[in-house]
Amino acid sequence: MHIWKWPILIGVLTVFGLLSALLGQFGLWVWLAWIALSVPLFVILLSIKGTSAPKLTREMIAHLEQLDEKDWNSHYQRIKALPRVVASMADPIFSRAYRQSQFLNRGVSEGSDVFGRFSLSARAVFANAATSVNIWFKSTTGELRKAVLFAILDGTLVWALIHIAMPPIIELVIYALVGVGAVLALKNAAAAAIRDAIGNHPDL
Amino acid sequence: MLCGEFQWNGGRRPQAGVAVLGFVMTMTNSARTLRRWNWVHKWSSLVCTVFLLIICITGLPLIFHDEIDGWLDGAQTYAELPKDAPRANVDRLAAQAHQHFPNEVVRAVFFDDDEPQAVVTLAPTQDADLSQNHWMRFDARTGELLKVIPSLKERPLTFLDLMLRLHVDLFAGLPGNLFLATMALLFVAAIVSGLVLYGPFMRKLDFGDIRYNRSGRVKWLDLHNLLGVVTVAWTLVLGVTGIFNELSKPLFNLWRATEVSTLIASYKDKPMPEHLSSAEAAFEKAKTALPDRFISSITYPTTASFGTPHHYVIWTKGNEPLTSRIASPVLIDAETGEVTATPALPWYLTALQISRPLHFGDYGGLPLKIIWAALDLVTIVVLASGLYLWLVRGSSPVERRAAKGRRLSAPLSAPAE
Repeated sequence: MHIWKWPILIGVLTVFGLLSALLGQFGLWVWLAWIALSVPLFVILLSIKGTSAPKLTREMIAHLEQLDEKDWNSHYQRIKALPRVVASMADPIFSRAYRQSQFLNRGVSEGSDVFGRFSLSARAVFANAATSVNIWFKSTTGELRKAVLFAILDGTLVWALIHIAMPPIIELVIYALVGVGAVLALKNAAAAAIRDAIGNHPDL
Repeated sequence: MLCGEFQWNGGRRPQAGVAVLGFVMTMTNSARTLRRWNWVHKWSSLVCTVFLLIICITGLPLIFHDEIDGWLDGAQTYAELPKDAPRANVDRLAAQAHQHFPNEVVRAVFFDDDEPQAVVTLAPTQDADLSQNHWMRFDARTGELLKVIPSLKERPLTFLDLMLRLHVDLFAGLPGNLFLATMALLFVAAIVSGLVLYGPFMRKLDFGDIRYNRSGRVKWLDLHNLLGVVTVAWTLVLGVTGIFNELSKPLFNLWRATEVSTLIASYKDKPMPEHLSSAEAAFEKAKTALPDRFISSITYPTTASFGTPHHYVIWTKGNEPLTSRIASPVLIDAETGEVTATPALPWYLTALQISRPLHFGDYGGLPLKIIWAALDLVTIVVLASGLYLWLVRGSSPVERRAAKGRRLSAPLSAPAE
């Protein structure tokens, strides 16, 4: 049964997405359709690990293992100061969950360098949706899931603003940039960094 | 018999869901059934892959045909009028179009519910081939002529025309439709058989695992499995709706030859009317007959397959999200102007109409189109990777599993000495 858990869930979400836009066509239903039909794409992105993904060296892992609580807090403050990409992660709920998971801290810090390359829009959407979904998949605590939900909702707001404020051709370009940005960022940062930072990568 | 084959759940009566799952798992466990499913997957995929690649690649720009058309045409400007401004008289639109092409006959008038535009179609004769149609776009309120679009015969094939023809019929007309419908059917068979094979080969892997540290073939097999299973619901819907869309001509012809023929049987021996009643009056009659529906087009009397020789066929659609996808006709006697019938469409045409948006992905704004395009790209990767896996095949995992199954089953089935 474990083999089918995720395929069935994704299949149900896809069918829901297809029907919700068809039957609803307005407002919330269309948003739900976009989110539900994006899930297969996000799952694919999260599962693909590029060969060029940055890898933590043994020395880096060893250094990270030696950090104590104080060091982690200062590390967190540095990340918090980064623009936009971790803004959604700076809320109290997230910060609690943040401290609960060391591998998450490391993953975000590694990934943030890669996020910095992308435009504001791409980073905003990516930070709130792609990263959040990735964290969701990796998380085990209920509180972290709450934080992810907030982040996803924040992400949809950004999409809405782009949709309302931009002419269609600009919107199309932004979506394309976001798509490319999300793929690259996921490839180079979220998946590899978080997985590698756990410290049990088969190559380590 | 292999251990466990068709003996799931130890002979106890299971609950329905568990029973189905158990049956499927047992079916996929059997080496022989596994080989059969593998055979189905291999050959159904191989036969349709090249054509499916053509369909997926040509479908990509077609997803954005509105945006591309708008971009090539430039932004359309309409007169600034209140939203409830009355529409132009249909007869006046037809007369204006006829003035422009005095040697041609009006075939149909289309109304758009998104933009205030009406499109009049003309052709040299009422039964001319569709490629000879001229199109004239008017402001639906003022009647101002906005654009004249030459017929397909008078202009070079545009990029989107080329994509559409390759996507729909490979430039082969009805035989092309039927051929691609068969390919879509094989595609559905490949998806179902691929899904059956997914279980046995993922037992030792977590969902989403890709073995990068193994050979290229194993890596691509994992990717093929992952991309395929994650998008399976979407591809299945696209495959089934694709079959329906390819069969649209035969289905409409079937309806015309059966139910419509019965409705207009009394007109059978009559010649086509020489003088037509007012199309505007027919429009109003249809509006009265079906007051809650939007009139999307009026087809003038024709012997061609999209109309009848003695009637204005007026197509209407609902105003609700779902009913706006389901068109239904009103037949108005073109001589007397009286309503002949308001036939309900048969189930297969209703299914066809619902399947259209599910195939085109044009019902949820630009973001849905982008998602559609991304899923289309993923499908292209699945098809190409499947082809690659076949080209670099050695002894396939299925065959190895089957051989292993045979070895394991041998002692069980051998008679005791």
